[in-house]
Amino acid sequence: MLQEVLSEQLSNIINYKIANNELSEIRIRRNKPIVVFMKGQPYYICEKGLTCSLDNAIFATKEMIDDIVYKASDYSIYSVNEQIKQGYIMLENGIRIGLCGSMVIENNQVKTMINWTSLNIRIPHAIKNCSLCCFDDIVSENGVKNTLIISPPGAGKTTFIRDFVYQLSEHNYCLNVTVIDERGEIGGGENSGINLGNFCDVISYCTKEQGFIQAIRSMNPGLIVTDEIGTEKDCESLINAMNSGVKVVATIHASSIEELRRKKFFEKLPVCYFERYVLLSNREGPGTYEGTYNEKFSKIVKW
Amino acid sequence: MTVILILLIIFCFGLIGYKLSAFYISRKKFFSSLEILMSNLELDVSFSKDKLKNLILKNSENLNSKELVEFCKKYFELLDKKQKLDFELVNEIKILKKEEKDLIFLFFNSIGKLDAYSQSKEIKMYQNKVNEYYLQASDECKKYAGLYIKLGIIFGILICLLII
Repeated sequence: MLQEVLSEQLSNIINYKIANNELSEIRIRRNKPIVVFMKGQPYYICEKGLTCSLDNAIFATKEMIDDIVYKASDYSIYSVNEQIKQGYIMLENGIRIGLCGSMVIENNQVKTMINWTSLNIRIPHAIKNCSLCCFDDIVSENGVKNTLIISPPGAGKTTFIRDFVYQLSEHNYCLNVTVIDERGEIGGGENSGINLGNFCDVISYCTKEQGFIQAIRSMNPGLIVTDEIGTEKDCESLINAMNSGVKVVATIHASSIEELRRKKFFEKLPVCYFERYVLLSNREGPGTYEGTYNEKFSKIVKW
Repeated sequence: MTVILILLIIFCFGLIGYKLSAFYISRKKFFSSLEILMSNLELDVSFSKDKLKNLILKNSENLNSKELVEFCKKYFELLDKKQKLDFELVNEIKILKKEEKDLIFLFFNSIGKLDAYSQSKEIKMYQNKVNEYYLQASDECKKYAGLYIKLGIIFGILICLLII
Protein backbone atom coordinates (compact mmCIF):
# COMPACT_ATOMS: atom_id res chain seq x y z
CA MET A 1 0.00 0.00 0.00
CA LEU A 2 2.82 2.41 0.88
CA GLN A 3 4.53 1.70 -2.44
CA GLU A 4 1.34 2.60 -4.29
CA VAL A 5 1.26 6.13 -2.97
CA LEU A 6 4.96 6.97 -3.28
CA SER A 7 6.62 8.03 -6.52
CA GLU A 8 8.33 5.28 -8.50
CA GLN A 9 11.76 6.58 -7.52
CA LEU A 10 11.00 6.65 -3.78
CA SER A 11 9.16 3.39 -3.92
CA ASN A 12 12.11 1.62 -5.56
CA ILE A 13 14.57 2.99 -3.01
CA ILE A 14 12.38 2.00 -0.05
CA ASN A 15 11.57 -1.38 -1.53
CA TYR A 16 15.01 -2.51 -2.61
CA LYS A 17 17.62 -0.40 -0.84
CA ILE A 18 16.27 0.01 2.69
CA ALA A 19 15.49 -2.58 5.36
CA ASN A 20 11.75 -2.13 5.08
CA ASN A 21 10.92 -3.77 8.39
CA GLU A 22 13.00 -1.24 10.31
CA LEU A 23 11.41 1.79 8.68
CA SER A 24 9.12 3.62 11.09
CA GLU A 25 8.66 7.08 9.63
CA ILE A 26 9.17 9.00 6.38
CA ARG A 27 9.28 12.79 6.64
CA ILE A 28 8.66 14.68 3.41
CA ARG A 29 8.93 18.46 3.55
CA ARG A 30 8.63 20.79 0.57
CA ASN A 31 12.05 21.74 -0.85
CA LYS A 32 13.80 19.86 1.96
CA PRO A 33 15.61 16.52 1.93
CA ILE A 34 13.45 13.47 2.55
CA VAL A 35 14.18 11.94 5.94
CA VAL A 36 13.45 8.39 7.05
CA PHE A 37 13.56 7.10 10.61
CA MET A 38 14.97 3.63 11.16
CA LYS A 39 14.93 2.35 14.74
CA GLY A 40 14.47 5.92 15.90
CA GLN A 41 17.50 7.24 13.96
CA PRO A 42 17.05 9.78 11.13
CA TYR A 43 18.69 9.33 7.71
CA TYR A 44 18.42 11.15 4.38
CA ILE A 45 17.36 9.18 1.33
CA CYS A 46 19.55 9.09 -1.77
CA GLU A 47 19.47 7.06 -4.99
CA LYS A 48 21.59 4.36 -3.39
CA GLY A 49 19.52 4.10 -0.22
CA LEU A 50 20.38 5.88 3.02
CA THR A 51 22.87 8.68 3.48
CA CYS A 52 23.96 11.07 6.18
CA SER A 53 25.19 13.62 3.66
CA LEU A 54 23.03 16.38 2.23
CA ASP A 55 24.98 16.39 -1.05
CA ASN A 56 23.23 13.48 -2.69
CA ALA A 57 20.01 13.52 -0.65
CA ILE A 58 16.72 13.54 -2.56
CA PHE A 59 14.71 16.72 -2.06
CA ALA A 60 10.92 16.75 -1.96
CA THR A 61 8.96 18.96 -4.35
CA LYS A 62 5.45 20.38 -4.21
CA GLU A 63 4.38 18.01 -6.99
CA MET A 64 5.77 15.04 -5.08
CA ILE A 65 3.78 15.97 -1.96
CA ASP A 66 0.57 16.69 -3.90
CA ASP A 67 0.91 13.43 -5.76
CA ILE A 68 1.27 11.41 -2.56
CA VAL A 69 -1.81 13.07 -1.04
CA TYR A 70 -3.90 12.52 -4.17
CA LYS A 71 -2.84 8.89 -4.42
CA ALA A 72 -3.43 8.33 -0.71
CA SER A 73 -6.97 9.61 -1.15
CA ASP A 74 -7.47 7.45 -4.28
CA TYR A 75 -7.84 10.70 -6.21
CA SER A 76 -10.87 11.44 -4.03
CA ILE A 77 -9.93 14.21 -1.61
CA TYR A 78 -13.63 14.86 -0.88
CA SER A 79 -13.99 11.31 0.46
CA VAL A 80 -11.24 11.74 3.07
CA ASN A 81 -11.83 15.40 3.85
CA GLU A 82 -12.96 14.64 7.41
CA GLN A 83 -9.56 13.04 8.01
CA ILE A 84 -7.74 15.88 6.22
CA LYS A 85 -9.51 18.38 8.47
CA GLN A 86 -7.93 16.58 11.41
CA GLY A 87 -4.54 16.57 9.71
CA TYR A 88 -4.08 13.04 8.43
CA ILE A 89 -5.04 10.43 5.87
CA MET A 90 -5.16 6.77 6.83
CA LEU A 91 -4.05 4.10 4.41
CA GLU A 92 -4.73 0.41 4.70
CA ASN A 93 -2.49 -1.55 7.08
CA GLY A 94 -2.68 1.27 9.62
CA ILE A 95 -0.21 3.52 7.78
CA ARG A 96 -0.95 7.12 8.69
CA ILE A 97 0.03 10.14 6.63
CA GLY A 98 0.15 13.26 8.79
CA LEU A 99 -0.36 16.50 6.86
CA CYS A 100 0.77 20.07 7.27
CA GLY A 101 -0.43 22.91 5.08
CA SER A 102 -2.85 25.82 5.06
CA MET A 103 -6.09 25.29 6.95
CA VAL A 104 -9.18 26.75 5.29
CA ILE A 105 -11.37 28.12 8.06
CA GLU A 106 -14.91 29.44 7.62
CA ASN A 107 -17.14 30.56 10.48
CA ASN A 108 -14.57 29.28 12.96
CA GLN A 109 -14.75 25.80 11.49
CA VAL A 110 -12.04 23.99 9.60
CA LYS A 111 -13.30 23.31 6.07
CA THR A 112 -10.25 21.59 4.65
CA MET A 113 -6.49 21.80 4.30
CA ILE A 114 -4.78 22.95 1.11
CA ASN A 115 -1.23 23.70 -0.08
CA TRP A 116 0.29 20.77 1.75
CA THR A 117 3.86 21.48 2.76
CA SER A 118 4.88 18.50 4.90
CA LEU A 119 3.97 14.86 5.19
CA ASN A 120 4.78 12.46 7.97
CA ILE A 121 4.23 8.88 6.89
CA ARG A 122 4.13 6.57 9.92
CA ILE A 123 4.51 2.88 9.32
CA PRO A 124 3.20 0.69 12.13
CA HIS A 125 5.01 -2.45 13.16
CA ALA A 126 3.60 -5.29 15.15
CA ILE A 127 6.14 -6.05 17.85
CA LYS A 128 5.17 -9.40 19.21
CA ASN A 129 5.05 -9.76 22.98
CA CYS A 130 5.96 -6.12 23.63
CA SER A 131 3.16 -5.85 26.18
CA LEU A 132 4.23 -8.91 28.15
CA CYS A 133 6.66 -6.85 30.24
CA CYS A 134 3.74 -5.62 32.33
CA PHE A 135 0.94 -7.95 31.29
CA ASP A 136 0.65 -9.44 34.78
CA ASP A 137 0.48 -5.96 36.33
CA ILE A 138 -2.54 -5.07 34.21
CA VAL A 139 -4.31 -8.41 34.13
CA SER A 140 -5.13 -10.34 37.26
CA GLU A 141 -7.47 -13.17 38.21
CA ASN A 142 -10.23 -10.59 38.62
CA GLY A 143 -9.82 -9.40 35.06
CA VAL A 144 -8.22 -6.43 33.39
CA LYS A 145 -7.52 -3.32 35.44
CA ASN A 146 -8.40 0.14 34.13
CA THR A 147 -5.07 1.14 32.66
CA LEU A 148 -3.56 4.21 31.07
CA ILE A 149 -0.54 3.78 28.80
CA ILE A 150 1.63 6.89 28.92
CA SER A 151 4.33 7.83 26.44
CA PRO A 152 5.55 10.70 24.29
CA PRO A 153 4.54 10.62 20.58
CA GLY A 154 6.15 7.82 18.58
CA ALA A 155 7.17 5.77 21.62
CA GLY A 156 5.02 2.74 20.91
CA LYS A 157 1.66 3.28 22.63
CA THR A 158 -0.40 2.00 19.73
CA THR A 159 1.92 -0.96 19.16
CA PHE A 160 1.64 -1.76 22.87
CA ILE A 161 -2.16 -1.79 23.02
CA ARG A 162 -2.37 -3.72 19.74
CA ASP A 163 -0.18 -6.42 21.23
CA PHE A 164 -1.96 -6.25 24.57
CA VAL A 165 -5.34 -6.99 22.94
CA TYR A 166 -3.76 -9.86 21.02
CA GLN A 167 -2.12 -11.25 24.17
CA LEU A 168 -5.44 -11.32 26.03
CA SER A 169 -6.74 -13.74 23.45
CA GLU A 170 -3.44 -15.65 23.36
CA HIS A 171 -3.55 -16.08 27.15
CA ASN A 172 -7.10 -17.47 26.90
CA TYR A 173 -8.83 -14.56 28.59
CA CYS A 174 -12.18 -14.96 26.90
CA LEU A 175 -13.00 -11.32 27.35
CA ASN A 176 -14.99 -9.41 24.72
CA VAL A 177 -12.77 -6.53 23.77
CA THR A 178 -14.03 -3.57 21.74
CA VAL A 179 -11.36 -1.40 20.18
CA ILE A 180 -12.41 2.17 19.40
CA ASP A 181 -10.07 2.99 16.59
CA GLU A 182 -10.56 6.65 15.79
CA ARG A 183 -8.00 6.74 12.99
CA GLY A 184 -7.86 3.12 11.95
CA GLU A 185 -4.36 2.76 13.41
CA ILE A 186 -4.95 -0.04 15.89
CA GLY A 187 -6.89 -2.43 13.68
CA GLY A 188 -5.49 -0.99 10.46
CA GLY A 189 -8.78 -0.99 8.53
CA GLU A 190 -10.74 -3.84 7.03
CA ASN A 191 -8.04 -5.47 4.90
CA SER A 192 -5.07 -4.87 7.15
CA GLY A 193 -4.29 -8.40 8.24
CA ILE A 194 -3.45 -7.14 11.73
CA ASN A 195 -4.39 -9.87 14.18
CA LEU A 196 -6.06 -8.60 17.35
CA GLY A 197 -7.10 -12.01 18.59
CA ASN A 198 -10.35 -13.93 18.57
CA PHE A 199 -12.38 -11.86 21.02
CA CYS A 200 -11.90 -8.43 19.55
CA ASP A 201 -14.37 -6.13 17.78
CA VAL A 202 -13.16 -2.94 16.15
CA ILE A 203 -15.16 0.25 15.65
CA SER A 204 -13.14 2.34 13.21
CA TYR A 205 -13.10 5.98 12.15
CA CYS A 206 -15.52 7.35 14.73
CA THR A 207 -14.99 9.77 17.58
CA LYS A 208 -14.37 8.29 21.00
CA GLU A 209 -17.65 9.72 22.23
CA GLN A 210 -19.65 7.96 19.51
CA GLY A 211 -17.53 4.83 19.75
CA PHE A 212 -17.96 4.39 23.50
CA ILE A 213 -21.73 4.88 23.30
CA GLN A 214 -22.06 2.46 20.40
CA ALA A 215 -19.77 -0.13 22.00
CA ILE A 216 -21.59 -0.14 25.34
CA ARG A 217 -25.02 -0.17 23.72
CA SER A 218 -24.46 -2.81 21.13
CA MET A 219 -21.33 -4.88 21.71
CA ASN A 220 -21.54 -5.78 25.41
CA PRO A 221 -17.79 -5.35 25.91
CA GLY A 222 -15.84 -6.49 28.94
CA LEU A 223 -13.02 -4.20 27.98
CA ILE A 224 -12.79 -1.12 25.77
CA VAL A 225 -9.42 -0.20 24.32
CA THR A 226 -8.76 3.17 22.74
CA ASP A 227 -5.87 5.32 21.64
CA GLU A 228 -4.77 8.85 22.52
CA ILE A 229 -7.25 10.46 24.86
CA GLY A 230 -6.70 14.17 24.73
CA THR A 231 -9.82 16.16 25.46
CA GLU A 232 -12.33 16.59 28.25
CA LYS A 233 -14.93 14.89 26.07
CA ASP A 234 -12.68 11.85 25.77
CA CYS A 235 -12.36 11.77 29.58
CA GLU A 236 -16.13 11.98 29.99
CA SER A 237 -16.54 9.03 27.63
CA LEU A 238 -14.00 7.04 29.64
CA ILE A 239 -15.74 7.83 32.94
CA ASN A 240 -19.12 6.86 31.48
CA ALA A 241 -17.69 3.54 30.33
CA MET A 242 -16.01 2.84 33.67
CA ASN A 243 -19.25 3.73 35.47
CA SER A 244 -21.07 1.25 33.26
CA GLY A 245 -18.96 -1.59 34.59
CA VAL A 246 -16.69 -1.75 31.56
CA LYS A 247 -12.93 -1.84 31.98
CA VAL A 248 -10.87 0.58 29.90
CA VAL A 249 -7.33 0.54 28.56
CA ALA A 250 -6.38 3.84 26.94
CA THR A 251 -3.26 5.72 25.90
CA ILE A 252 -2.22 9.30 26.44
CA HIS A 253 0.66 11.57 25.41
CA ALA A 254 3.02 12.47 28.25
CA SER A 255 6.64 11.71 28.93
CA SER A 256 6.32 11.20 32.68
CA ILE A 257 3.77 10.70 35.45
CA GLU A 258 4.38 14.30 36.58
CA GLU A 259 3.64 15.60 33.11
CA LEU A 260 0.47 13.55 33.01
CA ARG A 261 -0.75 14.97 36.32
CA ARG A 262 -0.12 18.50 35.08
CA LYS A 263 -2.54 18.01 32.17
CA LYS A 264 -5.62 20.18 32.78
CA PHE A 265 -8.21 17.78 31.50
CA PHE A 266 -6.62 14.95 33.46
CA GLU A 267 -7.46 16.78 36.69
CA LYS A 268 -11.10 16.21 35.85
CA LEU A 269 -10.56 12.48 35.76
CA PRO A 270 -10.83 11.23 39.35
CA VAL A 271 -7.54 9.61 40.29
CA CYS A 272 -9.11 6.39 41.49
CA TYR A 273 -10.52 5.56 38.06
CA PHE A 274 -7.28 4.22 36.69
CA GLU A 275 -5.71 1.39 38.64
CA ARG A 276 -2.56 1.08 36.55
CA TYR A 277 -0.33 3.47 34.62
CA VAL A 278 2.25 2.06 32.21
CA LEU A 279 5.05 4.41 31.21
CA LEU A 280 6.86 3.94 27.90
CA SER A 281 9.64 6.06 26.43
CA ASN A 282 12.09 6.41 23.58
CA ARG A 283 15.13 6.08 25.84
CA GLU A 284 16.42 2.85 24.30
CA GLY A 285 14.36 3.12 21.13
CA PRO A 286 10.56 3.27 20.72
CA GLY A 287 8.64 1.15 23.21
CA THR A 288 11.18 1.24 26.07
CA TYR A 289 9.28 0.10 29.16
CA GLU A 290 9.90 2.46 32.08
CA GLY A 291 7.61 0.94 34.66
CA THR A 292 4.08 0.33 35.88
CA TYR A 293 2.48 2.58 38.51
CA ASN A 294 -0.50 1.93 40.74
CA GLU A 295 -3.52 4.16 41.36
CA LYS A 296 -1.47 6.20 43.84
CA PHE A 297 1.24 6.75 41.23
CA SER A 298 3.70 4.54 43.10
CA LYS A 299 5.92 2.41 40.95
CA ILE A 300 5.18 -1.29 41.17
CA VAL A 301 8.41 -2.99 42.05
CA LYS A 302 8.97 -6.47 40.70
CA TRP A 303 10.99 -8.96 42.69
CA MET B 1 -31.33 -6.31 -62.73
CA THR B 2 -31.19 -2.54 -63.38
CA VAL B 3 -33.62 -1.86 -60.55
CA ILE B 4 -31.49 -3.87 -58.15
CA LEU B 5 -28.37 -1.99 -59.27
CA ILE B 6 -30.13 1.36 -58.82
CA LEU B 7 -31.32 0.40 -55.34
CA LEU B 8 -27.85 -0.83 -54.43
CA ILE B 9 -26.19 2.43 -55.54
CA ILE B 10 -28.75 4.53 -53.66
CA PHE B 11 -28.33 2.34 -50.59
CA CYS B 12 -24.52 2.63 -50.71
CA PHE B 13 -24.54 6.41 -51.01
CA GLY B 14 -27.24 6.62 -48.35
CA LEU B 15 -25.01 4.54 -46.08
CA ILE B 16 -22.06 6.87 -46.71
CA GLY B 17 -24.34 9.78 -45.85
CA TYR B 18 -25.46 7.98 -42.69
CA LYS B 19 -21.85 7.28 -41.67
CA LEU B 20 -21.03 10.97 -42.07
CA SER B 21 -24.09 11.99 -40.08
CA ALA B 22 -23.19 9.46 -37.34
CA PHE B 23 -20.25 11.67 -36.44
CA TYR B 24 -22.64 14.48 -35.45
CA ILE B 25 -25.02 12.10 -33.71
CA SER B 26 -22.12 10.64 -31.68
CA ARG B 27 -20.97 14.11 -30.67
CA LYS B 28 -24.44 15.00 -29.48
CA LYS B 29 -24.73 11.73 -27.56
CA PHE B 30 -21.26 12.22 -26.07
CA PHE B 31 -22.02 15.64 -24.62
CA SER B 32 -25.48 14.69 -23.37
CA SER B 33 -23.99 11.60 -21.66
CA LEU B 34 -21.17 13.69 -20.23
CA GLU B 35 -23.71 16.09 -18.77
CA ILE B 36 -25.55 13.19 -17.13
CA LEU B 37 -22.28 11.77 -15.82
CA MET B 38 -21.29 15.15 -14.39
CA SER B 39 -24.59 15.72 -12.62
CA ASN B 40 -24.46 12.20 -11.14
CA LEU B 41 -20.88 12.78 -10.03
CA GLU B 42 -21.85 16.07 -8.45
CA LEU B 43 -24.61 14.42 -6.45
CA ASP B 44 -22.44 11.49 -5.39
CA VAL B 45 -19.49 13.68 -4.42
CA SER B 46 -21.78 15.71 -2.17
CA PHE B 47 -23.73 12.86 -0.63
CA SER B 48 -22.29 9.36 -0.97
CA LYS B 49 -18.66 10.57 -0.95
CA ASP B 50 -17.55 7.25 -2.37
CA LYS B 51 -14.13 6.99 -4.05
CA LEU B 52 -13.95 8.53 -7.52
CA LYS B 53 -13.11 5.24 -9.25
CA ASN B 54 -16.24 3.65 -7.84
CA LEU B 55 -18.35 6.62 -8.86
CA ILE B 56 -16.95 6.51 -12.39
CA LEU B 57 -17.62 2.79 -12.63
CA LYS B 58 -21.14 3.08 -11.25
CA ASN B 59 -22.20 6.11 -13.30
CA SER B 60 -20.68 5.15 -16.63
CA GLU B 61 -22.53 1.84 -16.93
CA ASN B 62 -25.72 3.15 -18.47
CA LEU B 63 -24.40 5.99 -20.56
CA ASN B 64 -25.60 6.39 -24.12
CA SER B 65 -22.31 7.31 -25.74
CA LYS B 66 -20.00 4.40 -26.50
CA GLU B 67 -17.02 6.77 -26.79
CA LEU B 68 -17.61 8.09 -23.27
CA VAL B 69 -18.20 4.61 -21.85
CA GLU B 70 -14.93 3.46 -23.41
CA PHE B 71 -13.10 6.50 -22.03
CA CYS B 72 -14.57 5.99 -18.54
CA LYS B 73 -13.50 2.36 -18.59
CA LYS B 74 -9.90 3.32 -19.30
CA TYR B 75 -10.05 6.20 -16.82
CA PHE B 76 -11.28 3.79 -14.13
CA GLU B 77 -8.35 1.46 -14.87
CA LEU B 78 -5.94 4.38 -14.42
CA LEU B 79 -7.53 5.38 -11.11
CA ASP B 80 -7.43 1.80 -9.95
CA LYS B 81 -3.69 1.73 -10.59
CA LYS B 82 -3.34 5.15 -8.92
CA GLN B 83 -2.01 6.64 -12.17
CA LYS B 84 -2.44 10.13 -13.53
CA LEU B 85 -4.66 10.86 -16.53
CA ASP B 86 -2.65 11.20 -19.70
CA PHE B 87 -3.81 13.55 -22.49
CA GLU B 88 -3.32 10.67 -24.93
CA LEU B 89 -6.36 8.96 -23.44
CA VAL B 90 -8.54 12.00 -24.20
CA ASN B 91 -6.90 12.33 -27.60
CA GLU B 92 -8.22 8.89 -28.49
CA ILE B 93 -11.77 10.28 -28.56
CA LYS B 94 -11.81 11.03 -32.26
CA ILE B 95 -15.18 12.76 -32.42
CA LEU B 96 -14.01 15.74 -30.34
CA LYS B 97 -12.36 18.99 -31.39
CA LYS B 98 -9.08 20.11 -29.82
CA GLU B 99 -10.70 22.68 -27.54
CA GLU B 100 -13.25 20.14 -26.33
CA LYS B 101 -10.52 17.58 -25.64
CA ASP B 102 -8.65 20.19 -23.60
CA LEU B 103 -11.70 20.84 -21.46
CA ILE B 104 -12.38 17.17 -20.89
CA PHE B 105 -8.75 16.58 -19.98
CA LEU B 106 -8.88 19.48 -17.51
CA PHE B 107 -12.09 18.18 -15.98
CA PHE B 108 -11.00 14.59 -15.47
CA ASN B 109 -7.58 15.73 -14.33
CA SER B 110 -8.95 18.08 -11.68
CA ILE B 111 -11.77 15.95 -10.33
CA GLY B 112 -11.13 14.37 -6.94
CA LYS B 113 -8.59 16.97 -5.86
CA LEU B 114 -10.92 19.17 -3.81
CA ASP B 115 -13.21 18.90 -0.81
CA ALA B 116 -16.86 18.02 -1.48
CA TYR B 117 -18.18 21.60 -1.50
CA SER B 118 -15.52 23.00 -3.84
CA GLN B 119 -15.62 19.85 -5.97
CA SER B 120 -19.35 20.16 -6.44
CA LYS B 121 -18.99 23.83 -7.46
CA GLU B 122 -16.22 22.95 -9.88
CA ILE B 123 -18.24 20.17 -11.48
CA LYS B 124 -21.12 22.62 -11.97
CA MET B 125 -18.76 25.06 -13.67
CA TYR B 126 -17.55 22.39 -16.09
CA GLN B 127 -21.13 21.23 -16.57
CA ASN B 128 -22.12 24.71 -17.82
CA LYS B 129 -19.35 24.61 -20.38
CA VAL B 130 -20.28 21.08 -21.46
CA ASN B 131 -23.87 22.24 -21.80
CA GLU B 132 -22.70 24.90 -24.26
CA TYR B 133 -20.90 22.18 -26.24
CA TYR B 134 -24.02 20.03 -26.11
CA LEU B 135 -26.19 22.83 -27.53
CA GLN B 136 -23.62 23.44 -30.25
CA ALA B 137 -23.42 19.72 -31.05
CA SER B 138 -27.23 19.55 -31.06
CA ASP B 139 -27.47 22.38 -33.58
CA GLU B 140 -24.81 20.79 -35.76
CA CYS B 141 -26.59 17.46 -35.53
CA LYS B 142 -29.89 19.04 -36.61
CA LYS B 143 -28.21 20.84 -39.47
CA TYR B 144 -25.81 18.24 -40.78
CA ALA B 145 -26.94 14.77 -39.67
CA GLY B 146 -30.12 14.82 -41.79
CA LEU B 147 -28.39 16.74 -44.52
CA TYR B 148 -25.66 14.13 -45.07
CA ILE B 149 -28.20 11.30 -45.33
CA LYS B 150 -30.29 13.30 -47.79
CA LEU B 151 -27.19 14.31 -49.77
CA GLY B 152 -26.06 10.69 -49.86
CA ILE B 153 -29.38 9.52 -51.27
CA ILE B 154 -29.59 12.41 -53.76
CA PHE B 155 -26.01 11.76 -54.90
CA GLY B 156 -26.86 8.10 -55.31
CA ILE B 157 -29.91 8.96 -57.45
CA LEU B 158 -27.81 11.35 -59.56
CA ILE B 159 -25.22 8.68 -60.18
CA CYS B 160 -27.97 6.30 -61.18
CA LEU B 161 -29.42 8.84 -63.60
CA LEU B 162 -25.97 9.39 -65.09
CA ILE B 163 -25.40 5.67 -65.52
CA ILE B 164 -28.81 5.10 -67.06
